[in-house]
Amino acid sequence: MNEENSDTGSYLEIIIYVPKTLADPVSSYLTDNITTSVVFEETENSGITGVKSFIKEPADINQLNRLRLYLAQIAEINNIAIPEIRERSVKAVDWEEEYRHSVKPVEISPELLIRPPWAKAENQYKYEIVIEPKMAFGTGNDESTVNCLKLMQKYFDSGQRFLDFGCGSGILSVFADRLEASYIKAIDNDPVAIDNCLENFELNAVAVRHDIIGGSIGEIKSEEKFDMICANIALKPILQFLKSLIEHTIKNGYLVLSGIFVNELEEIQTALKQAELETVDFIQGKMWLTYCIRK
Amino acid sequence: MGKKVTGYIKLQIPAGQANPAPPVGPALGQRGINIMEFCKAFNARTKDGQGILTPVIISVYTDKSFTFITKTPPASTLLKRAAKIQKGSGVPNKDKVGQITKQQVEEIAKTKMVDLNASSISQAMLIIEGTARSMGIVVAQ
Repeated sequence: MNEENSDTGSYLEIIIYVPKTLADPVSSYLTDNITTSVVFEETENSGITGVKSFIKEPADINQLNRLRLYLAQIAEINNIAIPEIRERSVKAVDWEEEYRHSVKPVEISPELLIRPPWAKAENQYKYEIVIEPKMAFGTGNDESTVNCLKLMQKYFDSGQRFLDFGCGSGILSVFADRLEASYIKAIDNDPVAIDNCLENFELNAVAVRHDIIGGSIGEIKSEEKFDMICANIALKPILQFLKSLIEHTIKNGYLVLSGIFVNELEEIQTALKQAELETVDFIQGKMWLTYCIRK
Repeated sequence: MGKKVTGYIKLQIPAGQANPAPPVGPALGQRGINIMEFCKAFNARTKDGQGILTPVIISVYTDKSFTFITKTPPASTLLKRAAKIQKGSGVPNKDKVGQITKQQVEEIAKTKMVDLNASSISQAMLIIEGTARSMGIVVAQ
């Protein structure tokens, strides 16, 4: 059981100040024995790094004593003063909940607004989508999803069939409904995403015929074709399923590929070239790339 | 006009396992960053890493948006892998838990050269040897 997953009670925050070159072994000790992750706090030009971690309270005194012994040992080995530990008790915060309440409406275009259920739109929009922000990807705040929405608005027409491959929160599917799709299929291999997608379909009263399915490419019947397929996932599954996704796209239909990191540009371009695919649109953001392919 | 970077957050998180609990939640939440989007993006980016500790540097912009880069595993992780041990020593001056060769140190130094801020490979090797000593790993001469 991961004790860090609990969000009630309090934590002991510990920061260990060490010369920069010792931050790595100290982090190694902490992640070997006490915690799963650490934060490095560096002050410019000081040469000192604060290695920060959290222990669920009540903290194990023996665990802390062993940490002090370890620090004394590395001080001896490296001929430095025993590193200082700063400790303080901090109240546990439900960061997921905090995050939810920090989510604000996002205007994707003058016609499209994404908002959480509790926020109201200040202006009139042709398309308004309500997304309950949870752990599923796609709240309208990340550029990978925003790029998909923009390409959908440009290339998706009413009466068309839409496949949302790796649907996450279902945001793209809900938008396909707003663009008057005739049928929507939303697939994700993450149960958290499926739950959130179902919730968002209900919140947005999606009435068009649709299927929300937990699984992967095997959930699409071999003869099924779509006018547009969006795969807002990651490079690896895109490359893995590219051939199948093309097969399920109708002739002259569109395949939107997103969730590709900018440093993966060469890899995706090589794959698209090999598959002899025509890129009709391309968006390069700060961190993500999005391709619109025409079959 | 490009957005300005207001700061950086440096973390080490097991690949594919970022979640909003501490330290990720407070580190990002206090800067007003979208924790969930980071966790989802980090986990998607690193899901093939089998939980290996992954250094990540997040750049935070004036509008609270962010980008991040992941790096090769820390030298300590590479040392444990080279010495075929699960954990470093808790009393490294007394209990030695593994041994590696000078050649392995050099390989690790080359892998981590870009992150170590060392001016030469021999300086990088000295840093790696120091890390090994602080973990109770002996470098065979």
